[in-house]
Amino acid sequence: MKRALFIGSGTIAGVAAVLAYAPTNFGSSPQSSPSALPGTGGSTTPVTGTTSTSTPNQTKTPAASTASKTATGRSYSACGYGNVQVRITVVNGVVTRAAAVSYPNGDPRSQFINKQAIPWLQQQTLTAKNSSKISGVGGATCTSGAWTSSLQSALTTAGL
Amino acid sequence: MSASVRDQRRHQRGGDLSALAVGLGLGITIAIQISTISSHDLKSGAGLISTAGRFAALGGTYFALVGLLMVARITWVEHSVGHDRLVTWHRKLGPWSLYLIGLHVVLVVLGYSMNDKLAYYRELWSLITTYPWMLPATAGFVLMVMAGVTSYKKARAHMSYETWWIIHLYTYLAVALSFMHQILTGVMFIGHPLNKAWWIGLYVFVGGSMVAWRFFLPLFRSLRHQLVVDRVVVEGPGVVSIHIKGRKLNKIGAQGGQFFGWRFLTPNFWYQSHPYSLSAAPHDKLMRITVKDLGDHSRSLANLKPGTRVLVEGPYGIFTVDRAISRNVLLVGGGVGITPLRALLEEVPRGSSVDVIYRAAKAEDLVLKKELDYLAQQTGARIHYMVGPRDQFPLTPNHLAKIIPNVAKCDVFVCGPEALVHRIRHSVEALGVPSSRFHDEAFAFHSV
Amino acid sequence: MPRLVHAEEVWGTVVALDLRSDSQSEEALKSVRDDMVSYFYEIDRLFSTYKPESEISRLRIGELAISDASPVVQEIWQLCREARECTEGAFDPWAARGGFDPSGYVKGWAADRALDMACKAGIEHVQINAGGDISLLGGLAIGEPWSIGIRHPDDDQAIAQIVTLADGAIATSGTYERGAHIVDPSTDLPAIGARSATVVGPDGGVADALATALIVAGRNGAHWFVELTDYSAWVVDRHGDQTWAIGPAFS
Repeated sequence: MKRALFIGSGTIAGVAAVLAYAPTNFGSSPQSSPSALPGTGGSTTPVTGTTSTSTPNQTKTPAASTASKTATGRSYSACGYGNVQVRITVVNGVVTRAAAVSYPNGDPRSQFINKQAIPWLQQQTLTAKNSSKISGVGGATCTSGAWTSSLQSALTTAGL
Repeated sequence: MSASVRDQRRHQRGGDLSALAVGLGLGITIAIQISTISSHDLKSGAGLISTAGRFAALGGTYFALVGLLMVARITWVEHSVGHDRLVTWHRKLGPWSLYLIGLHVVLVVLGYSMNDKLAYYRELWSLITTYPWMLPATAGFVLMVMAGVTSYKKARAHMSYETWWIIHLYTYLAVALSFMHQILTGVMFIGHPLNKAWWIGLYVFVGGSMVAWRFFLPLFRSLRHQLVVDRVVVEGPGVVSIHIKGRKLNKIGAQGGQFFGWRFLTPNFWYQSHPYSLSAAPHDKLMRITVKDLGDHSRSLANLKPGTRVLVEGPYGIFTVDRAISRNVLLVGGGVGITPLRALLEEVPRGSSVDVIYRAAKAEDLVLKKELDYLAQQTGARIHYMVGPRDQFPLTPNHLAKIIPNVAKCDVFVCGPEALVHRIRHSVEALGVPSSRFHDEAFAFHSV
Repeated sequence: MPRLVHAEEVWGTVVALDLRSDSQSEEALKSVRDDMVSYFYEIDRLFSTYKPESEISRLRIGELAISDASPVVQEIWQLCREARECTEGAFDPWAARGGFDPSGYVKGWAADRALDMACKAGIEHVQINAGGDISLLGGLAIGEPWSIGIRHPDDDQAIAQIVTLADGAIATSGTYERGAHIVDPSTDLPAIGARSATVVGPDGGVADALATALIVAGRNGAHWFVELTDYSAWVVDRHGDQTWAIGPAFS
């Protein structure tokens, strides 16, 4: 049964090796955005345009925060070739993670759709929800296929 | 002539390395699923069930691929782990692969049906018919079940070897048919190019190994050594010897006691490979096998035409005289099991003390008797023919010790029916022969 | 914390702005607002299908070739191509009556560009509500994400779903008004896939296109979101009261 020992230790080694490289993310939903630290050349997204991942103005927020929060900054869009939007995570006032969340034109990853994937849907019955604490209202006040000229109550609900 | 300790160590290391590699691959395979689990997979019963189904899929497929590798006849693996042990493991792994894949089908459909709030059969139908490559995967699964069911001992006993073999071959097709649905719908692969690369690499490695070692190597060898049937000789009722001629056969490095997988390229049997031991020590221009008529294929060998091309896989087996530690040798053969011993006998070094026990039910069953007698005369070996019913020759420790006084100091080589091997093993063990001096060849493990 | 709220009637709808800043002055907010508003009109000039002199109108009647159009229009043309591929043809501006009509992309995209302007000017919290399509930045305040209600398809006084996020875009397509205005490109008939579709994601144009496409495709569009893991969808079935959702914003 010594061979069993070899198989067992090989298995453990294999699991450890993979998880060291690609850690689990049980607590979050599936992520696909690759990490692109600002200013490094190791970005995996094909960034076109000049200053792609500039640090956003968000870092000027007050340092007296202990919670980890996410903020998205926008980068300079050069010559209409698109921009890279960077989402940063700030813990105790320190930027701990920066990830590119939108891709410039032509990035194959954002265009590739797997036609065979089987979606996992959350289903519920349509109900009305408590709307006392909302800070904005979205909805199709005009359908996106045509411009209409009607005036609607978005004026009163949006932002007020 | 002693067992090469260095060789043994090398073989041991090879086997250990193989085990480590298999374990590593299993670990990586499990881990690619662990690393792609997300929160909503763990939040609901349906999610947990589907996740379990995915683990089962990966495990079952990995076992199937490893099982295929085990019979890919990779030379260094065969020599280190040993052909018979590989076949044993292949047989053990097979059912587990099928159980796990069956579990995968049940659990994944259950999970999706719970989440989509659909009846089970409706969800199954929807999954199979909506997404491409699911139909082939389903077909593959059915083929796998068939191969599994027919391999069940009771079922296999009721069908001819050829029928069973063809159904079993469909396992290759089953594995190939399932591949696309794994890569395209597997959540551990979508958007995870490294995981996908691993999986594809695994398939390519297994497929490539099979093609290289089971197709190209034998083909190359056959062409290089020009292996063809020379003539067919009738040795007795229902027993024929096939003489295969070639050139530079010494380069193949076969020894007496070993066997090959033989593929005779006739229109009816080119797709079958059967294991037969050499019945004479091989030399540079000739190899010989002696076969008893036991069924379709063996019967057809009597009609082989000279000039028929031959493909071989091997040599296999560690049933060789160079494994003997002592200079005293006891060869025990039962029925057609005498064939490798007949080859071995030619290679026992001069000065050794050789005894041969030949067990047969009837005198007509004694195969190659004339050659054995001739060899005995030339080498001084003593042949003890034991013809008759089993109870006449109990082969107990006392019985053996009486016939062969120095049996406790011998290297014992046994080949024959399982019962005979079993009995001899027990008896010589009782007489103090250690397992390092006991060598057996069980025909039952030569082929899947 | 200075705050500026503004509503502008443009693009055939009302675009509402909500700008809050921890660091910028009221004057800065006003200046940004002015820039954003003139941007809106610039987009309108280029893209309005109700203005015969707009580049889009001229494209539609063949008076202008796409290769001669301004870079912005060309960029939209390219982005719509990609969105069409993304949605397997369910979003197809070229199938609209009268010719190429990128309205289902431009609104969300332009709101994003306006958001960029505010961000570059140092405004930390921005909500742009362009007739129900929303672009967001920075949350309501530090550590407090925006809480956006999605209008109930049958009762425009009620909220059917709430989305909580700090940054990103929320686009909703639907048939709230009488009659379906979205046409299924493959059948040329009113789309029947869904009654209402809300898409949440980082890019407003893409979210807009996906929402439009979902009205056409319904559940057949769910698998787009398996790989587009930054985007989420919440969809009301065309018939009955069932909703389905996929993606991180709704799990």
